[in-house]
Amino acid sequence: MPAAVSLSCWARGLSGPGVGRPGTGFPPVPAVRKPSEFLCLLATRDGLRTEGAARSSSLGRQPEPRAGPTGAGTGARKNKQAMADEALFLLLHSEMVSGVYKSAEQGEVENGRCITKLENMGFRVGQGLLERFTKDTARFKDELDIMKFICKDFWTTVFKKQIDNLRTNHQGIYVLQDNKFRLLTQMSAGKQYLEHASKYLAFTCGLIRGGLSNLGIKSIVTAEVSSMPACKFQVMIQKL
Amino acid sequence: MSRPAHRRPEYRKINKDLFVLTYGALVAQLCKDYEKDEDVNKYLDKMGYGIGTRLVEDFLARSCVRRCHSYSEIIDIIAQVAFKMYLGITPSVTCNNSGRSEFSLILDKNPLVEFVEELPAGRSSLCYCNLLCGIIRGALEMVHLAADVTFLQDRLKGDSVTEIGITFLKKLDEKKYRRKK
Repeated sequence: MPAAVSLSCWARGLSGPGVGRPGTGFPPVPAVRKPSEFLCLLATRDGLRTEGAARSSSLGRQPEPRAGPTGAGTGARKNKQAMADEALFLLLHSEMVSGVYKSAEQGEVENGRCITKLENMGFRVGQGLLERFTKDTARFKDELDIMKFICKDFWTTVFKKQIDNLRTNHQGIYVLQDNKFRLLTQMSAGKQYLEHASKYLAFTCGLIRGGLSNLGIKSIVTAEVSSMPACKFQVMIQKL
Repeated sequence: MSRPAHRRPEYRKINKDLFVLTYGALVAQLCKDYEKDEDVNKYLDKMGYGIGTRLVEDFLARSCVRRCHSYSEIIDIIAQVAFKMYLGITPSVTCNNSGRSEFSLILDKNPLVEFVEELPAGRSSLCYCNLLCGIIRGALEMVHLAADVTFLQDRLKGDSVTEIGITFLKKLDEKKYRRKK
């Protein structure tokens, strides 16, 4: 179901979200836009990407994943995104988490160390993934553009869906909300196992941090879950 | 809105690079944690075992394989259905002994090593894809077949192909045999 997208960031008349990428066929966006115009803009970007989907596809609806080149923008269109089965990755991920925790003892410090280990693994993977996805994409105009790339293209290519909601305070803090996070859907649909959820989000936090670091942004990424499978990733950009 | 006809199969896919890179990060982390190659291999095998015991459920639920009556049928199904479903490759099968209980899967294209150029220095006996062995072993054990699965040849170690050897340990008992893999 399409989630309403917070317009708080776009309603403040930011400079254009860098639509003028080669291949999209869109004219560059003027500096100040009214919220409703942004809505349409992003909807049609989705429409273009899914090649023939109706223009009325509302914002927030996940673009239909299609076999073959789709997803991560113009770059990935050129290289076919090979698919593997979700079950394999989910199982590998849960084995990793349980393996890391099994070899550690009880205690707060150990828990923190395990989360760090998982996050570092995610960091490496995120760096590598982002290199592959952005091989042929144009330069990003600003931080917000990069975050939108993460929310849309990156998340779509990795998890076959977009981030449902992006919020920012324009001072370097972004909150990415995913209402149906793929790594948690198989686990529970409510409050059960909530205390274990953070273990399964550490890897993805590292993924985001690694991706951002390869785009030149140093950040701290944390995650919180209030009710599975929805979760929020908070990205704090570190100004150098 | 042009939706594909069967949404479910499409929806169950995830990016392959993610899986391959995650596996690489996992092996790298294990190499950091354990000094000996045997320990890393053993750990990968154990992890694969855990994955295999669960993966076989998913496999049996989604593929409509028929009952198998011999080991060679089982191996054919592993090679042609299971590998295809999960990794998108079809290894070729050879039978190693006349007793029909030792088989080899020959992988000419191994997606797990897509980004690996060579084994790290000092890690010459590392079986990089040992997870696969564990998965096959775990899956077979869940359908009441004990088997020994190892790497006979490995391209990363200099051999020409990657070969997984599967040796069935127990005699095939018709009565006990309800499911197939």
